[in-house]
Parts: sequence; structure tokens; C-alpha cells
Amino acid sequence: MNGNEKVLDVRNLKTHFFTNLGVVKAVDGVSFYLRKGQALGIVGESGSGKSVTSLSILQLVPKPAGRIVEGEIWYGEEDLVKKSQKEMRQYRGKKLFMISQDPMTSLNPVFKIGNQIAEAIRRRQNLTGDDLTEKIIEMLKLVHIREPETRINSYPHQFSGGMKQRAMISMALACQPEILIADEPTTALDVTIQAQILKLMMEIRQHYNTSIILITHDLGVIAKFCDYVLVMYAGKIVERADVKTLFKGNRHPYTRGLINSLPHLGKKQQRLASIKGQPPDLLNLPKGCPFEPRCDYSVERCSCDYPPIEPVDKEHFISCWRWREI
Amino acid sequence: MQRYIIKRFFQSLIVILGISVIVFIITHLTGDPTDLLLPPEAGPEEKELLRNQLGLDRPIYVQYLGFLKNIAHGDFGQSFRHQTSAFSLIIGALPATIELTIAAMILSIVIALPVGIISAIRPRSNYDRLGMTFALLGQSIPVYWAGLMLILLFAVTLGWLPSTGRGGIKHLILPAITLGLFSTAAIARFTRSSMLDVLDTDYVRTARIKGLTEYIVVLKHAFKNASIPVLTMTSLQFGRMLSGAVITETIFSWPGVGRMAVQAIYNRDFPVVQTAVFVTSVIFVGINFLVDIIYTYLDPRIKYK
Repeated sequence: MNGNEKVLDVRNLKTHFFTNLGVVKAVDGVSFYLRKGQALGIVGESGSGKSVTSLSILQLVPKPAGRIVEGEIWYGEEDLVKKSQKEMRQYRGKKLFMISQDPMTSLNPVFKIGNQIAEAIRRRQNLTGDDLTEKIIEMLKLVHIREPETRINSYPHQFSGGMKQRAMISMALACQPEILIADEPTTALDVTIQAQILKLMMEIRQHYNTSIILITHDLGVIAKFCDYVLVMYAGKIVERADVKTLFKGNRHPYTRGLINSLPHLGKKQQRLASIKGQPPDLLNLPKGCPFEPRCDYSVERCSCDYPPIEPVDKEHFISCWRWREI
Repeated sequence: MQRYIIKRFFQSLIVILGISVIVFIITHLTGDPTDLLLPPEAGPEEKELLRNQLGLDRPIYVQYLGFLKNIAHGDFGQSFRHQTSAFSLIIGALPATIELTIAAMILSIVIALPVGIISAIRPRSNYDRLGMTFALLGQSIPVYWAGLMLILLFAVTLGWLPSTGRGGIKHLILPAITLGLFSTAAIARFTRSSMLDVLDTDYVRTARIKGLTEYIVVLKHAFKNASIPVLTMTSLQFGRMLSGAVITETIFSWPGVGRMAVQAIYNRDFPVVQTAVFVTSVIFVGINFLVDIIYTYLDPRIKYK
């Protein structure tokens, strides 16, 4: 770890969506922090609140339905939750940047790639004309796009999926954010491209000491790239620990279920293990622990009260009534 | 790019050919023009003679081919009533119609785009509700009623503006509002929904993530995308205006193609009706062709399809 300075401190974040059907508590009381240069992984099933957490940090929760109802997001001495959209502009593209899930739709189809990268460059450097063109080409080279001199004038539909995601990463490079959020950056790409993209992100991290939040449902990616992991379930963090502890010393039945469902190399398996049941309906969460209906360890208490998040040790936290016994 | 334009050009020609068939047949379904051209006491021989002179006794496909051959030479025949070339009559009336249509179009766009965009940026706000209520009214009110009410208020009661005829800007205001009312409402509503779709996309979010100003996010990233369907809608409105001019021109005695066409229909003046419909249709097809070319500038993906 490169130092212990906290660059982001999220405290009791609650982001809810007010829909016609009821209130969806997409993120419900999430606390964590991110250290300088750290790679933080967030895992969980679809709908567990991973993406909404990252959008909340950027204050880009879809409006008008979504709203941060409670909590603080400390970036240095500033609480981002209290910032107006206009004030947030000073953070987005300079301190914070996000690469989203689907590179196919994250680039504007009607503007040239070069133009879109230029917008990111100009957030930091006031370049124009040939200097700007040169800088764009340099950025494209950094993300290994071939023939950048001609590619600068391409439109997104002339790029492959992997190239689009690399173009997004080149924007991240241009912005040189302190915190880079990557929301399932490789989900839409095939496996060989995945590795390249992740490698690029780690290069950024090493080069600029950027802190990274990597959202994924791929535990393999977490194991390889992250230092610290949050496991989310139904809008809450159920376990958080450094990556070693998470894989070897996990205590939460859900974390255990996720890790058990990984295929093992060299082990004869007829079927992959899975967690029984379905993720809960966020409109209709049970009163107690939301994982209780699917949990093999549940006792009566689990269905009545939500377990508080408790420290196992300094960096390992867990939310389960029975963690001591498991 | 060139192939796309050439393809669109030939498609337009086919459409024009189709129009010529329809125009030719429909006007022949309205009755025998010799009844109107001859005095009531004229006998069957005189009638036959005139039918022969006008070529109305020949088989309909021969008449059509003759018609097609003539219009290819720019000859739309003589007006039965005015004894001059039908084409020159319509061309003479065309500037008035174009003036009115363009005025109505500019008015629609200038009002509709900002209303639609602001409504989309602040959905469900009071501004949005007000704008969309007016848009709903604008689309629901019949043109002739709106025209008469405007005349009643601004010409008769207040006496601010003239109610009939063509002249300066003052003469243009009421007919342009009347003609543009529906389109303003339609374009505003369409701009709003198109912008709402686009503002929700990932690439608009990317623009926000980059920390661009709201002005750039909305007007550059969102609007350029939203403008593609809006342009389609607007070009369709142009066609509606050209045909809607018939009613507006009649209400305001505006000396344009629409009013001339109505008079020609009353007189069963085939060549004039044919020319009027044909010329307006060709203008409409021409506008659509232009719009197809503009698309390629707005959306680079179109060129390569």
C-alpha cells in the first residue's frame, strides 16, 4: 500500500429510488473508505447497489427518481453530497472519473473520437490546434490504439468494443483523476480484451498512484487486481476485508457462497456450486437480514433484526448475527 | 456518401412519378369539365368538339402518357378558365405560399425547440407542464377555428393587424401563426420526448462525468442526437404546412397556390389542380431529399449504411 491517506470516505450512504411501485432502497447505509493508490473491489449480484454506489459518489444518480437521502461522501475536506451539480463539475473529470459498463453506448455516436477525447484533455490543459491534436494522438497511443493519426477522425461506430473501452480509458488518462471508478469495465468485452483493459487500468494506477474502485461480479478479477473488497447484498455491505482475508478467512455465508461458486482448476466437478434462491425484491425487503431466506445458517433472529456491521479485526468488517460461529 | 445521395435521388424520382399517376387519376374522377366550360344551352355536338379539342375523348392511359410527356417538357397545359399556361399561374402564386410556409416554419422552430428542450431538462416542472399544455392545445385546435379566432381578436376587435391579403410583415403575422400553430406544438412535444430519451443515455452521462458544462452537455452532446428524429418530424411538418396552406390561405385570402388550387377545384380546372398538386408534391419530395442529405451531417452512421 502506498501510504494510508484516505481519499474518499463514504459514511452511511443511502440512495433510494422513489418509483410508482414504492421506494427502492438501492443503497441503504453503506460505509467504506478508499486509500490513496488503493484498488478497491466491489462485488455483488445485479441489483445489489454496486453501480448506484459509484453513481452516488459522482452525484449522477438518475433523476428525478433517485436521490441520496442520507449519508456523507467525504473527498478530502469536502462532503460531495452537499455539492450542487455546478460545484460537482470541479470534481468530475478532474478528481473523479468513471468508466462505465457498456463501451458501446458510452461514447457519443455523432462526434469523432478525437473530439470526445479532446474534451477530457481540455479539462486539464488549455490546448488548441496542433498541440491538442498531438495530445489526443499521444493519448490514443498510450492505450495502444493503432494508427492514432487516422483513428482520431473515426466515429465510435467504426471502433470495436475493446477500442471504445480503450478510448474511454484514454479519457481517464487525460483527466488524471485521483479516483477512477470502473463499473464492470470488461463485462461487455471478450476475455482476451478483458485482460488488456484491466492491465491498462493497473498501469494507470501504478503510474499516477490513482485510487481505483473496481465494480465487478467477477471474483477472479478481484483476486488479481484488488487490495480490498466490499461484498454488497441488497443495498448493504455484508462483508468487507482485504483481498486475502476475503478469500481465505471470510465469515459471511454470502461471501462464502460466492467463493464456493467459483470453478476450481484441477478439481473434478459435475456441476458448479451455486447459492440457492433468487436475489431479493428490493421493493419488498424482509425485515431482518435480506440474505436470510437463502442462508444455510439462518436462525430465528436473522428474520427479525438486521445484523449490525461489526469489526472482526481492524480491516475486516461483517454484518451477520452468527459470524463468530461460522 | 455519393452512392447514398444518388440512391435517394432516384427514390425521389420514383415518388414523383407515383404522384403524377395519382394526381392525374384523381382529378379525372371529379367530373366532366366541359359542363362548366360551355354555356348551358350548348348541344352534344359542341360538347364533343370541345372534348376532342382538349383531348378528353382519348383513352385515359394515352391522356396520362401525354400528360407525362408534357410535364417533362415543363408544359402543364392551359388553364380551362384563365386561358393561360397552368404552370405560369401556379409559379406566379408560389412565392406567396413559400413566403407563408417559411414564415410559419421559422416561427414554429424558434418557439418549439427552446420550449421542448427546456421542458426536457426540467421534466414535470411547472415550466414543463405549462409548455406541454399549450402544445396539447396547439395540436388539438382546428386550423380554421384558430384562424377565425385570431382574426376576431387581432383584426376585428383590436384592429392591430389586417385580416386578409398579402403585403408587408403585418399581413404575414396572423396567417403564419395560424399555419404554424400545429407544427409548433408537434415539434415542441417531439423535441421534448426526443431530448428526454437522449438525456438518459450513457454518452450524455459520460459527458457529465468529464465535467463538461451543462450548456455543452445539453446543446452539444444531447441535442445533436435528439435533433435527428426532430428533423424528420420537422420535414414532415413542412409537407403538412404546404397542404395546410389550402385552409389558411382561404381564410386569410392569401394569394398562394393553396387558394388557387381550391378555386381550380370549384371550376374543375384540371390542369391548374394537377399543376398545383404536382408542384407542391415535388417541393415536398425535394425537401425530404435535402433532409436526407442533412442527416448524413448529423449522424455519421447513416453514410455507411
